[in-house]
Amino acid sequence: MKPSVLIVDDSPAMRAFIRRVLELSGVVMSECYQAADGGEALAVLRRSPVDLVLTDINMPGINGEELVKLIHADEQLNSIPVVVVSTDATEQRVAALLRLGARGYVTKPFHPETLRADLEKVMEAADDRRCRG
Amino acid sequence: MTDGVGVECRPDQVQAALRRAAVSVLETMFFVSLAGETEEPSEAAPEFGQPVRVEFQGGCQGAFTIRVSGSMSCSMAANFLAKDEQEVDEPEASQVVSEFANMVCGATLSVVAPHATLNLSYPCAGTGVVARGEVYRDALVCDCGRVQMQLEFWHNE
Ligand SMILES: [Mg+2]
Repeated sequence: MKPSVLIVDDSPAMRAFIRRVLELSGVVMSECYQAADGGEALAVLRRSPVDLVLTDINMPGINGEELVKLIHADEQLNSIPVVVVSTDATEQRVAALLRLGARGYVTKPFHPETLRADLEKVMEAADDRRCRG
Repeated sequence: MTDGVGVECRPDQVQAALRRAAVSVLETMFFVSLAGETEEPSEAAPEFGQPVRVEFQGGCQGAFTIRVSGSMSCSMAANFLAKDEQEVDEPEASQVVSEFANMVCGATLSVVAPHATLNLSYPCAGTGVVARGEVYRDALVCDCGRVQMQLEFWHNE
């Protein structure tokens, strides 16, 4: 399956970089949507089918933490796995985001291979859930 | 242990963590390597661009400031965005230096204050701010230019 992916980051440069790393690491996407904050991300999620969300934390407006919460609380959206991509690797932050519903946490800087392996794990777990669900 | 609130390392470990974070971010995200030589941090020479500053609060408080030489910001942006250096414009170069500052700051703090809750500000131009508190400086010579960094921890007044 070729996933459709949504990249959420307030930096256009970082969105472009993540997209390129996904492509370079061999992730074939059917679609790659981008959003600059949580509000834009929710708008994309409500109108387009998305299989995986990658989100930054520190963004203006609806930030990554709130976005994770909102997706988790929304019955239409909560089957979509959300992976946080952040520079903040402090234990409390990682634990808090996973508790709020994030399915994975990738810290920047990351190697392309690590990102791919982490995303594959998350996608497989999401498939398992769907099959069981 | 340093006196910086929330910091769980000795000063030499903070200094080493700063260096490791910068090198790792440069290598993995910007495809830039160290040129082997290092230099003493000094007053920024005119060829350096605007300083970029990230402030942090929470378990520890302070600021991280970075300056990159003009040619280097262009090469970093070109590598990061997979463009030719000639295609990189000013806003892109400054966005990329901001991301660099954000990542080095976050990666360093995650090592030296792993149990703190941290809130990083958006990177902004940081001209004319005098360093205070406990200050760590480092300078790197890379294959495409030079970087100067300064990490400050402020004490609760
Ligand atoms: Mg951000």
